[in-house]
Amino acid sequence: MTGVVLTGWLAAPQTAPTAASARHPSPDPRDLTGTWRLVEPADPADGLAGPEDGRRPGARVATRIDLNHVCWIASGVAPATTTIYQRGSQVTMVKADSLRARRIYLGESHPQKVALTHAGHSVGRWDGNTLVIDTIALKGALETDDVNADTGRFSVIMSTPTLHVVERLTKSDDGAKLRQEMHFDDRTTGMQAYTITRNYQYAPRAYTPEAECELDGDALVATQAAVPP
Amino acid sequence: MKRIVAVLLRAGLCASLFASIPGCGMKNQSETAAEPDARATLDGVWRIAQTSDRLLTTDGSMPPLLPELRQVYEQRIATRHAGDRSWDPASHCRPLGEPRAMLELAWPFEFLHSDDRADILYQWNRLDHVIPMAAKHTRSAGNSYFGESVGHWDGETLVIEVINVRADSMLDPSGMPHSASLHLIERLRTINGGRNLEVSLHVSDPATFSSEWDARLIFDRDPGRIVEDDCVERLQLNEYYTLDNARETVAIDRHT
Repeated sequence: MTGVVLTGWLAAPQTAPTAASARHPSPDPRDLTGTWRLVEPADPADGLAGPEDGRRPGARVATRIDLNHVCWIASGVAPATTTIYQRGSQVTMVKADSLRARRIYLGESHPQKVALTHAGHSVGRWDGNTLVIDTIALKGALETDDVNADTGRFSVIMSTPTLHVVERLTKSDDGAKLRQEMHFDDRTTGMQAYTITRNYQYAPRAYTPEAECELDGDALVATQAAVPP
Repeated sequence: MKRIVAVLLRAGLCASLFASIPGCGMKNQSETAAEPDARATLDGVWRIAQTSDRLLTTDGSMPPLLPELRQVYEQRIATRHAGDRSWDPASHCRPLGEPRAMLELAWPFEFLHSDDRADILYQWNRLDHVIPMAAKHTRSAGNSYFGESVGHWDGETLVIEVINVRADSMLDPSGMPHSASLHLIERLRTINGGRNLEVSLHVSDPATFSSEWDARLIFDRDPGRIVEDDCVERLQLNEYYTLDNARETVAIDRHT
């Protein structure tokens, strides 16, 4: 569809240098608010910058990209640097990808009927100082934690409507890291269940620049706003 | 003597009870740290109180567009009423920018903030306006639809200053134009005991308007939740969401 813009995410061409670790200001182990930069697996499309990482000023970047590999709406459980807000019984995760926001409702159960979305439907509870999130009703593309050698980005598989994800988020004692353990299973399709672990570093000033993808003929042209120094 | 007593009495009252009254000589609002609860009332889901496709000044007038640009605006209004939105980048799912995103289809948005940043999360195509707090404009960043935004607190009011907005975005759903020189100041605060959000806008763009002007938008606190929206999917499936459907339980009308 010519001229249609897909709100997407495009990394800047180069990965930012690693920064010294900042530490979460709150000693409360259940206070996860703030921005956590994905460090393991390393995000090959990391287009973030912040005072901790060095800035990448410059003009808007336009790159022609294969239609099949980018500008899909990211899954709610896909790997990405994340800003977490905790407000009452809702945890909001603003991800540095094309999905942007996923919302976790604490103390609730999944409804009997729920529409499939890219974010999925997520409910959560605290298990000690670990936030346990249960997600169902996912649709669309799901980025895995394996980097595709051809595209240089996380590999993509398609979600199934019966995919079930349980994740556990725990802040480190020193407040510098966030550990995310994710368990994927789908009893309907017989998929072999698997568990992965991701690690994040506290990065309070990491900034996600605006990005969008536009269909131009048979190619996708993605542009990303410059990151202010 | 009476004057001395009056001064002393006033100082005492100001110090003890009426510190916020102007002229009491106390710290001004911008220097006094606001109660955390006052700022927290900004958080939540909001929806425009009175649907409108056109941005008006605080006295209800058409903004002072330069003559040739007023012609452009009026032509867009006319063609839009005729069903032609070919001039509108949003019809191709381009980001909306502000303040248009706050008005579009009267859909809700969610405001969240922390010490380091604020996010205005729109239901419309999952747009996210990120506002770094206590940052400074660089004036060297490229243009974007939401522009380069920096935020700071003025007491209970969040002040957002926006520059470097792409000239192909529009200020309202009817296509009000602006130039790349737009300088927008948004002041957000809750009123009526937290039931409403007031957004005061100050617009400066000498390439588009003959003078600076102000607008005021009021939003109701919405008890519902933001629903995931994919603009491209809507276009591809030729569907639309009615206002009533823009809530947690979604019903879809299909056009043939």
